[in-house]
Amino acid sequence: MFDKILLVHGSGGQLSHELVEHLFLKYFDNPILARMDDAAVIGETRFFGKNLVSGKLAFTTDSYVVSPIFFPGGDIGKLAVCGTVNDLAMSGATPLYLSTGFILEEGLELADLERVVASMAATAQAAGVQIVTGDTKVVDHGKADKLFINTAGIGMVPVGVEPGSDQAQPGDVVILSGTVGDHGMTIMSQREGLRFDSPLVSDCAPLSGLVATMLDALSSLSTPLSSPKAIHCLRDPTRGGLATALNEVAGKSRVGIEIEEHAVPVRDAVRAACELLGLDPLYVANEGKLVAFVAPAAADAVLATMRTHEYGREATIIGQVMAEHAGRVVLRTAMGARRILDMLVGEQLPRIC
Amino acid sequence: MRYIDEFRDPHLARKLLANIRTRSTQPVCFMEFCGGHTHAIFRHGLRQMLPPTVELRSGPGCPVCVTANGDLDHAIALARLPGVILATFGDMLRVPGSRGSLQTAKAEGADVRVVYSTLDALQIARDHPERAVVFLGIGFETTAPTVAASVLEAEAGSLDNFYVLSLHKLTPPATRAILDEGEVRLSGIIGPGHVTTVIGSDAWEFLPRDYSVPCAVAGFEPLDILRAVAALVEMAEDGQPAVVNAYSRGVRPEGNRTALGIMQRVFEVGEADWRGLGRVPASGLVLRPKYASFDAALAFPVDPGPTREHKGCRCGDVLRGTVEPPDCPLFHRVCTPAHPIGPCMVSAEGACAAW
Amino acid sequence: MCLAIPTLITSIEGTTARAEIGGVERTISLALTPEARVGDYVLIHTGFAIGVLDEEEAQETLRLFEELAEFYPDETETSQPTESTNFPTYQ
Repeated sequence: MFDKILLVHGSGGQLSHELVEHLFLKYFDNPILARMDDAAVIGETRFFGKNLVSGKLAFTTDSYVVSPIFFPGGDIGKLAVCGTVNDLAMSGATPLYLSTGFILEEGLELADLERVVASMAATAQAAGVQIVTGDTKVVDHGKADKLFINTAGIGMVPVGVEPGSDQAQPGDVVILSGTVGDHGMTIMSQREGLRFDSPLVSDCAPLSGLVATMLDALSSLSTPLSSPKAIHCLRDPTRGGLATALNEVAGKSRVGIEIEEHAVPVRDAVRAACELLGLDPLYVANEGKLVAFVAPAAADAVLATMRTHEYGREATIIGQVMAEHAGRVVLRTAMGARRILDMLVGEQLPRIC
Repeated sequence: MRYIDEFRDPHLARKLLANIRTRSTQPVCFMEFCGGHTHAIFRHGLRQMLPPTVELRSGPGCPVCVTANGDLDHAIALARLPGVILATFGDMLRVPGSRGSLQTAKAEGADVRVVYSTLDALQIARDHPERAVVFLGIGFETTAPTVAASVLEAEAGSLDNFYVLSLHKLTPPATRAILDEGEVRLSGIIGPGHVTTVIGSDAWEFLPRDYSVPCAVAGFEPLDILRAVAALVEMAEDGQPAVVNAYSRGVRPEGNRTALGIMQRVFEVGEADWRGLGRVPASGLVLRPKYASFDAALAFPVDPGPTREHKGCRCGDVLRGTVEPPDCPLFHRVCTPAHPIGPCMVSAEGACAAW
Repeated sequence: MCLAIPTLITSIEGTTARAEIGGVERTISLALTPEARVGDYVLIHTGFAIGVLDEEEAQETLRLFEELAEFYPDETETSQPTESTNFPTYQ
């Protein structure tokens, strides 16, 4: 076996097949993928006791180009699985099947690729999804930054579950699942030109389990006011951070949102790193957090449920939705003053001023 | 975080505000010279908390905003040279020049890299001996000594591929220029805390002495800013202009002699082009002849092309404090954070972006 | 302008030092503050210490704020001082 990826690995010939056999199939081991057909044909009609036919299909795709490909708390592979799983989960879907396409740079160390693939397999297993189809291409050295990954995912949205960015209503309680800024600042701290050492770790995590727990808890409560429909909206604040996600909901739902600055949990190290670079944690990317907009009657139950889950232990109420200043997000600062929290424009860059 | 959290105590902030509200009887207008103050005031929502008698105007203390188009064009032209790596602080990346920004140049193939420190730029130079690293030197007296120290380090290490394009500017001359123009009636100046860490609070004595304008040197936490405002209100009410060091933990009357010495060893004072103020004599820093070999302007003569100012852009007026952002015809109509026309909208501490 | 953050010097080697804040560490230059010692807090601007923080002055400032706080009782918008002539002064 070679120790580096070569152009010939992407040509579809013997070496491509060996790569698939010895690497991808070894880790993404499942019956559908093992058939190695041109398309994954999925015959099941029931999943986890729920009938596929009566629910809705959710389908999403994302591409991942993060650099560096390995970082504290994760890697590009884990990110690729979590990102797509989370997009499905935010729609209320149970994520089921993923495809993955790799664009590999000629010269990529095979050991690095193996590490990424192993990570994807482990993450997929933890998230309860199967990677059932994929593709590999190799490009000339210099045409890709080590590797780029695309994942597409399908999931099933059960009947009666319909969260949406346009569904937030005045009176809704805004609940955040944990600390913000961890992923983005971890990546920043690894970038050439910035170089600082920190205990920062990416929060990259699959949230489908957390969301399922939240929806199930509401289903099992028999009060008329509590049903999964009480969760009006779920968003994962990725690029652009919490502020951008909140603005998107405010805009689409045509409501105002008010957030308490002191209620937003931020790790000391994230706060410190942000201060050093002149960044605002509210605009820094997260890869393992969600914001839930919940009807007030169900808020306490949802919050308590989130805190029982591994990825929701630090869940907390950060604000509320109102009819006033529709489309805008307002921050009540720690000083007690109110200011507008705008959408992020472009990338937040370290500043000296 | 030590020395930060204590100075963000909301309870103490309320007391300072109570003091300001009680003492302030006549309308006053204070200029917060420094962009860092503009940003901090916005971030913590301090403007809304002050009584209506106290007005704050932003001044030309944002090094990004006061960089003239011609100078930025020069930097962009250097970035486009093959073999050049242009290293810059993040602040400058998206500022529009006459024909695009450093970011657009990067998209078109120029090697532009954002660094946090000149030390990182030095490292890039060591890592790439075959390329020329040009550091875009913006900033006032806080930053200039760090760039000077880097030049000395490059000299000591015989690094021959490190260059600086000095666009550094000095703050007291700019303050004088604003007061001399007399366009805004200022009752006080909130002095830039970290510039003053370097130049010393004595450097502001000319304000009460020559202009009868009080100055309170302020740090950047909410309590620091409020304390400075309270001191200015007191001095304005009593008609007793003076310089108050309201950032005594970080500022001394004589400043940082070592930093000043290093700055003066490498740089000498020359004239500089300020957006909004035009050419101001003795307000900029140029590399001394002894360090001419580090001067990017000399090493790489380029023609950046004609300078164009966007019609209608009133950044200059905003910077002088003569208008407030909403008075600019382009504000939020054409010029928005997503599509900035002028630097005031781009910079995190630009008055327009903060508004 | 001039983002400068107070950090704690944890070790020094020649003209460089390790500075720490909130668990985050960075290597910085002491070229502009050669007098800094381990245990000092310095203001870091673009990777350089530009000044050593004066602990006593910091405490003095906070004490001034506390004094002021006593002068203004806990009210909301309509705070009135207890005495109308003896204002705490900043000078």
